[in-house]
Amino acid sequence: MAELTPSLAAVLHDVLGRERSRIVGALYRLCGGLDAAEEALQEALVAALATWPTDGVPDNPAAWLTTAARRHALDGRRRRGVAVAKAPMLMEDPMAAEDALETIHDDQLRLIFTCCHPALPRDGQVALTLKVILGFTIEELARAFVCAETTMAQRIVRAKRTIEDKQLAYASPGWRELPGRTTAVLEVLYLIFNEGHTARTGALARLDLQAEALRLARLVSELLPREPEASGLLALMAFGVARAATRADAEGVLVRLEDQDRDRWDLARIEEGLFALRRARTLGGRGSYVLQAEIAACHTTAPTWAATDWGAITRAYDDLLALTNSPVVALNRAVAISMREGAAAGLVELAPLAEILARYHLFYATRAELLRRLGRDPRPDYERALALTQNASEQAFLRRQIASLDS
Amino acid sequence: MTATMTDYLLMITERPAAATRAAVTERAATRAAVRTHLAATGALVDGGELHPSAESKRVRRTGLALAVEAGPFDATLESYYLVRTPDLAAATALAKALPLHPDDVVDVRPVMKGAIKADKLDQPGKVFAFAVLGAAADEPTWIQQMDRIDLATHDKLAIPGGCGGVRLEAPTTGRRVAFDASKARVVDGPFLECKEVIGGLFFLRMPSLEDATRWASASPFVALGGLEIRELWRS
Repeated sequence: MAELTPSLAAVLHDVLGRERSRIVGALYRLCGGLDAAEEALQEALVAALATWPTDGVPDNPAAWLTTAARRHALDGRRRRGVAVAKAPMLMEDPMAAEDALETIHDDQLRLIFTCCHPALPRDGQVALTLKVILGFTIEELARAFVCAETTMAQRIVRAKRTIEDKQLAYASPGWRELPGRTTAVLEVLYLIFNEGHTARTGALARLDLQAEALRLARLVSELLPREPEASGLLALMAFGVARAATRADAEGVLVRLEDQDRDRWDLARIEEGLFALRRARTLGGRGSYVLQAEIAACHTTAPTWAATDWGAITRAYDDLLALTNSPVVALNRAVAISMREGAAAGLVELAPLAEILARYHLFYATRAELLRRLGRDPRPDYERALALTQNASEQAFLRRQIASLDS
Repeated sequence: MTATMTDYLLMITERPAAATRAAVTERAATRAAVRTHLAATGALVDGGELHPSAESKRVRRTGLALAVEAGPFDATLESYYLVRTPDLAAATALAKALPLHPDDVVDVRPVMKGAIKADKLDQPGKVFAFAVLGAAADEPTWIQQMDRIDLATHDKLAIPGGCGGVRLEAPTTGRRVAFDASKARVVDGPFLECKEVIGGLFFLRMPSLEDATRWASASPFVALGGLEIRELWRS
């Protein structure tokens, strides 16, 4: 086999980065199974490595890979004795079909909906989405989720087996409309993004995971153009990514939103977020992702922390709280209220949350801030927060806060 | 008496990429205000905002060589609005009344023929705007160039994924509205200064910018003129 030259590696990386879900989606339809689809793509990559260095990179690398993979899938079926006559769909060229665009969209959606099927356990959905759709290796997944490679491999195998045993792929008309399917997909994306946003351990944000989640959100909002929550989630992620580079300082220590260098926020992502949010509003969305995106938009477009539109943020939190009844939302709402009406008002809002959030480090970190603003002793709360978080970046931040009390 | 209504294309010129958060936000608000304003007049037939030209490509062919140029481009489209009014004066008045800001420029051009599908974003997938560009030393030559392109391509757009398009009248039949600090000034249509001037705008559904560029490269448009390919924002 030919050497994987740097430029060839770059071409393949680029093609797969943009087209992977399209290729695997088509292969999934043609092969009828995730393993077979992934295997066919692997075979096509091997063929590409063998021929591209001498023949040159084809004009349309994605189509080349799909055709090569399709051929391998077909050979595989022949070898296994499946009559070609029984699989007429294998004969069609997915890139040349008259309704190619519709087919591509359906293929990609079917692939995503299968990987995020509600019947799978949550960790299985996430692992499968990252592996099949984004092409993460088992090793990368194990590193990203801090578990052993064997554990991750088992998780993938179990999820795939569930899909095959229960025949979870959707092929019937109307499968896209099934309620709850979209919700599950968006939840998986949100989870991937949050995993990148605040890694449970280690460095604060795994930027690559966030970027991948954003890429998926773009794809899903394109595939589901009438779903306001898909646009809302895209907006939320775009605003998050816009601020990502400023969330930690040079030493990797958490920088609070109020202390971040707003000049370094990524304007192109802010613009993308504003477009997606406007679309969600046009569609009439007031769901949880749209509301969170509205809050993020207020923060991301404010010139300074002090000049933030806390009134609008509090109103969005009111709606979000009514929708989710989540104590974490109530905690954030208390911060917004403290900014608009003062730290004492914030403390009043926090009081009823003390019991339910007793194991949540941000409750104590928040209360410590409010106590500090009122000139009261925040040290016990800072220390409790420190004991409750495993994120090294947050720990460093809290230690700094405690140290600053001594000086 | 029923006045005959004509379609005009209002084209807002893209500003250089915004350098501050405030500018990005303000521009987003401006775009939203422009669309709301035009929708309220009842004259709006279709409209759309484009991804920045920094994320776009221009394709042309000189001899056998294909030239693909990456954005950003100067003085190109930020958004388009197709309006239906009795005459050019009414369309220009609409442009003058837009809630725009100093340094904004709007070109108003009569539509010669064609129509844009207003529901093109109702289906999934990306939609790309293709601006047909012509460069000529004078207007008669430019018109000849556009006629040739028209002749070679009029049957090439009835393809799956086609979302319609319009051919525009010559630049001097239009008006340019330039906003300054105090008011909107109207000048004659843009003059040809040996740079590329838009002669038409059409829309295709394509999976990606790469696919759109590939399609453009093989089309007769780029042998006779140029195409600028811009993704439409879903908004």
